[in-house]
Amino acid sequence: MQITTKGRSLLQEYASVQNTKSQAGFETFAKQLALAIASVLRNNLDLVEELAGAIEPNHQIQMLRDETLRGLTYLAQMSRIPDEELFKICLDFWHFFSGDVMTKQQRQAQSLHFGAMAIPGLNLAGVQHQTAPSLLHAHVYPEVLREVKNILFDHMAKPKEVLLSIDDNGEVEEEYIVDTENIALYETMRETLIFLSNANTEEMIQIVNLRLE
Amino acid sequence: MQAAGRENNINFDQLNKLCWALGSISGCMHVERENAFLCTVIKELLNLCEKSTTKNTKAQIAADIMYVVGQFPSFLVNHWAFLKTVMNKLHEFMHESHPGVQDMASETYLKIAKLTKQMFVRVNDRDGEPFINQIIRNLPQNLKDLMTH
Repeated sequence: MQITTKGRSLLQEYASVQNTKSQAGFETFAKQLALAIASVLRNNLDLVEELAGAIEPNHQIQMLRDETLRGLTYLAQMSRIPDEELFKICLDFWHFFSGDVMTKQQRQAQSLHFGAMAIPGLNLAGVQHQTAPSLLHAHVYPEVLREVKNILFDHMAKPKEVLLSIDDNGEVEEEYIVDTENIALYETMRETLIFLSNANTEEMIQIVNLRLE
Repeated sequence: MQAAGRENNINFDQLNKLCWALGSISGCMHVERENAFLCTVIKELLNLCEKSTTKNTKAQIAADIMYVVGQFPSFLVNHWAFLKTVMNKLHEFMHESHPGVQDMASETYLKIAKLTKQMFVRVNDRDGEPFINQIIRNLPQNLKDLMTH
């Protein structure tokens, strides 16, 4: 992969073929790639996390970690390519991914709590070892999740309560037709944002404040 | 929003999206954190609304504010003074002739009124009478610019 993209991001790659005859081909390629990465990660995430969390990492596990990060990075880059269909493929994955991260985090918080309750001050090291966040959660995901939040903020769909829209001339006008597709998109994005802000509230607030300025 | 001075430079697309996004995450923070967060956000938005000069931008920001406040009813219940300001602001928007603003103001009004109904019939601190009395008194004045659909 590194060789094919020559170190450039997929977004730069897209910009270089935009408005040329290879654009359609690149879009198809990106969609297939997104589908492939998304389904591999979706189906194997648990296994990957378990393996990558091994106590004594060898270079294969290191590679697994790197490749997971690379896959996620590619998905993040592709989310920024202005193609609606591609965005939906990526969004679908982020929805699953953020839900998964949140669930695992909550489960972990619970079991830590229970562990501490059951044997106060005793053998905590053992308990923590079992329930410690996987290395991926601790070291690989935060960076990706931050980028996902930014992507979502940049692409947020219009909620149905807002009746104003901007026409092609930049004028504000009233919207009469209910856009069902857009509402469905909004709902998925909303859920994803809720997962993400449950997983890391402080960072969410930080990003919003940063953007307000 | 330091860009407020250079109004034309504000990217409204981004501002809108940001507002829609932060309105959508209602209810997933701790109450105190959410309150503080919301205070800063709304203060900034109101500032921006004051500073904007053209009808177009005012309408946009108004729509954003209306959406955001409509998403956080629990905050409104806990801050009566703020709720009152919002309701008065909505009355104001009902006289705004910009297309869509009246409709959205009315819908937000209905939404908030439904979600925080208990606040309107209660006597809230220095007012001496429930807010509903004031609303009814001023009803003809507030509704005069609205059209039937």
